[in-house]
Amino acid sequence: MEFKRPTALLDACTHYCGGCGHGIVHRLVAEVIDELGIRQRTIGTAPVGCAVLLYDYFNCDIIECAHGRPPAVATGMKRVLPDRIIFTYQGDGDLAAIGTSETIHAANRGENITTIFINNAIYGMTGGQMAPTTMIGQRTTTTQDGRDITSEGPPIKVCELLSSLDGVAYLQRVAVSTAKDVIKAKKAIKKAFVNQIEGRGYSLVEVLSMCPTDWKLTPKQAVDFVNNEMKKVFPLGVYKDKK
Amino acid sequence: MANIEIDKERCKGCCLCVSECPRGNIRMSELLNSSGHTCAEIIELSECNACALCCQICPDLAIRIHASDETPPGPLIRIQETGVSKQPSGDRKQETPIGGQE
Repeated sequence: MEFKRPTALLDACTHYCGGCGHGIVHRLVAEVIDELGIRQRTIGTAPVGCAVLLYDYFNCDIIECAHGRPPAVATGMKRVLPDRIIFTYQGDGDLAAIGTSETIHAANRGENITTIFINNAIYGMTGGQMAPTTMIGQRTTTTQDGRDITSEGPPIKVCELLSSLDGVAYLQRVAVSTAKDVIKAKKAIKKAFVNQIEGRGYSLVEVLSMCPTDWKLTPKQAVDFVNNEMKKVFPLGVYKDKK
Repeated sequence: MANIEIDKERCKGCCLCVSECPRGNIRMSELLNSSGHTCAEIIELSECNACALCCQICPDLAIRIHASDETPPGPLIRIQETGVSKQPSGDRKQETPIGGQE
């Protein structure tokens, strides 16, 4: 048994808070890139949000995109360089708020790209405001009495939303709150990359991730929050797998 | 005995590995690293069977398991008189240079 840092991940200390799920997902994506042997032809997109410094951590080409626009940038790159493997790494503010339009239309067109979607039910970088994925009753700095369905509406469930689109090839929701979930998440991410290599179309993996700092919880409590609260609202599973 | 190493300078003290270890063989040290985080440490190396569940959950890749034929990791970090631990010189290996080759 050997466990070491993947080649696709630079030997850098991340800026993420202790217990944040981003570091785990970075490693999983890098391990998949290594296992598929695609590092030198992979281009990622960095979002606006906590993962904005993605290019400091990955040992492959990364392009920084305007807020919410990674699917549009990825579309352009994939069409100009079809032999490259393009992935977007987006948070819930980037993908489901300002980038809703780009996401839905890229998915509907069936662009042959891979999207890694981090859902932590809050805006992390800006200090814990309500996100489109914030759950009913969840307290944030902009919903101090908890998200109210009558004034803020219910949370957007991205996998369910995109599953109705014909262009989408693969949708799965996973979590990184336990070691077992992390192992499953890696399998889903690998499948999303393999789909692109085989030209199947738009693949998205939604990852339920911890944000202990903005949830005002300890890392252990944040793990319990994902396991006991988030998984009820955002059930794990495969939402689409077009053959 | 597993050839396991916790890089204390990388550890941010989130304790996720402590609750994930099926043998309860990881605890939080009373030491602080140079960033001011408390660090995880293996309680008994001989009890570790290298299941790597701690590695899976660690968000900071602070835990590594070396191949059995590889040189063992450097000495475990000892308590400094100041109470702040230091990374022994030459302990950290540069595995992935920037722009490194496959």
